[in-house]
Amino acid sequence: MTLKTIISIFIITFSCSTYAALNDTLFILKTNVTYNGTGFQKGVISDSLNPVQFDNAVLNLTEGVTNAFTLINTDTISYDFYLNTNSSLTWNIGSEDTITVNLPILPSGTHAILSSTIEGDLLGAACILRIGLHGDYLYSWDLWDMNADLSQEIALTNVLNIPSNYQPNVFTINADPLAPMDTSNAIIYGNVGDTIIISVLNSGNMVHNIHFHGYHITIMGASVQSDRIGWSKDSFPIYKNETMTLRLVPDQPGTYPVHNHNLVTVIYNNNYPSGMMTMLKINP
Amino acid sequence: MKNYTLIFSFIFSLSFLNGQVKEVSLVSKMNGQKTLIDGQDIVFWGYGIDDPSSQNNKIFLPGPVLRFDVGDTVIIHLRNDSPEDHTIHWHGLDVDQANDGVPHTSTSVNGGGAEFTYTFVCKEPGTYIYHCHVLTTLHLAMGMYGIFIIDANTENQIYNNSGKYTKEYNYLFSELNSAWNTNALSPGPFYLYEADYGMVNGWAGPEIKVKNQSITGDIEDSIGMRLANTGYGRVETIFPKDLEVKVYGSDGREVNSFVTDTIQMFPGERFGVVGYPQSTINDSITVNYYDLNNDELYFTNYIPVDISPTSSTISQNLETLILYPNPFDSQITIDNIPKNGTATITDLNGKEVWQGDLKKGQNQIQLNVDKGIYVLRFGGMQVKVVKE
Repeated sequence: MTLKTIISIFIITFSCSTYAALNDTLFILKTNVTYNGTGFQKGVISDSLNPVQFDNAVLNLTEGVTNAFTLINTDTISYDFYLNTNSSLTWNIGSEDTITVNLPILPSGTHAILSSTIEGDLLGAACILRIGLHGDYLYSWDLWDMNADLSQEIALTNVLNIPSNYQPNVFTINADPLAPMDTSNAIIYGNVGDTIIISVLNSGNMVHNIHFHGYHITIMGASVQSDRIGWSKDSFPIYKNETMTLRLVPDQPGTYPVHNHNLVTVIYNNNYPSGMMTMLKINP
Repeated sequence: MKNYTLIFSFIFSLSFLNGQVKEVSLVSKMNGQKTLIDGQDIVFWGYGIDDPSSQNNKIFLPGPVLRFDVGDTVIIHLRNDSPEDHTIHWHGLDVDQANDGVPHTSTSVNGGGAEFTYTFVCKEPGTYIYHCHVLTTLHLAMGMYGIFIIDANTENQIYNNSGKYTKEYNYLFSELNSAWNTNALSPGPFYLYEADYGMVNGWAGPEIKVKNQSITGDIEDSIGMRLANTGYGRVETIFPKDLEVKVYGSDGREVNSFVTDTIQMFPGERFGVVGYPQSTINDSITVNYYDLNNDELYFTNYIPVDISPTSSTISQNLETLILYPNPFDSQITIDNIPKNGTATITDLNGKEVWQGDLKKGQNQIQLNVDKGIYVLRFGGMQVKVVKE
């Protein structure tokens, strides 16, 4: 075989490779998170082995191509995962194992890898996939709810489902129960006239409800409420395991809250405003 | 006029034309009293008209209906005659930050008589909510809310381009955790909130009919309904089977219209719909209230719907055609036809569904048509007939 033939085979093999190069490595973590003295268990697919904040990873992926990433499970249990927009796409990873997650070509929009394993499902281990989204600014919100005491029992596998008398007291955006504070990565910054694209995932255990002050948004995509795509709304639900893509084009400057209008959720440790409330900070 | 549906009279209005400056004065208090349908007495907080001469400065549950025209500039004075701070947030109206009614980004209105004036333009017709945004979890649950309507630039129409109606009804759905309203100053950890009482414009159970919240009309009416959910749970409205309901918009914005028999309303959502009677109706709209924590149904209300066969708009010659049964199944009998002639039957869009000759005296017509309303015309007379 000539060198030219070998090179040709290499080029053909490389160019026909099903999946793009592995650019990301993510880690499955289950950890006790403490805010203001209250601790709760949180499941995470993190982009860091030692994260400062336990929010789920967000992958920005190119439209029209296949993608892949490396997933490392640091937990002592195995996990099953699936794609929320195509539940036939599944992955299994053993305890303390490493796999390559291969993603086929996906339609543009917001997708999520979710866990069908009880701990991962209830404790909100997930990964947001943003496919081919373009705007002046891209943001993501991951909404999650839990009862702090219940989370400890789930982590110990003493509880295997959400009880009928569920009364959550932890409500987070991007795993932060103090989402209105300036330290939160949920806060959206932009300018009047910008196109701001917001990917939203409900990785929690109940339906949540988003209310925008100051603006209406356009629902660009919704994995469950496809009948509402194109609607201009200021208040709307997002169902458990649903992903949505929202477009905000601010027409006035100012600082405005965005929050869950089930107002029990804007509390943490009985303090208001906390929980599922964050801010829009729009410059002129 | 009933307090709970009070259509607010403007204290100052420069003109009845759109795009004018209109001014209103409200008062907030924390001393409302109400007896629930089980006899339990509760306290509520809320808003009223700041006009001692006409309203005695009372507050209402919900607060007064605020209604303006699209394009109006509204000036709303709030006097806080209560021991705690309050505000008004104009939910969905997209006002600027200064008028948004959020304490940590806008301003609070201190208790003890402080005043604040909100000013904004009514940009889009539709249905909105106003509520206090101070410690909102508690203050809204205590009753500090009301419905806010912006009328379209076309009369009797919910939106600028759609939603025409002949009769209108506005329904604000809300809820109570009655334990909070009996111990408001120490309601316990907020996350333990658990609604146990559902309301329609502040009323529940048999009160809804007694307080004139029922829908009445005839089968030629189109029933405009503005629906809003200010509770913390899901409200499900199930419409009578013979009331074809078309959704024209939500949250003050038009959508591609669609027909539905059920609307799921989540916290803070509003819908603009029109119901078209397909027959006489003696039924009700079922309003179910669900707890979002576990999706359990905890309360149901019924809004009576009484649609009569009597037409108010068909020709005055109706009585000269004696026709029965009406509504009919497949055959209509017509008595006392004065002379031979040709009759036609059309649907409400004018499409002819039957044509035939009638002879002097009694006639029978076999009519195989879809359920709905039709008009029979003969010799300059017309009569409405209903297929069940």
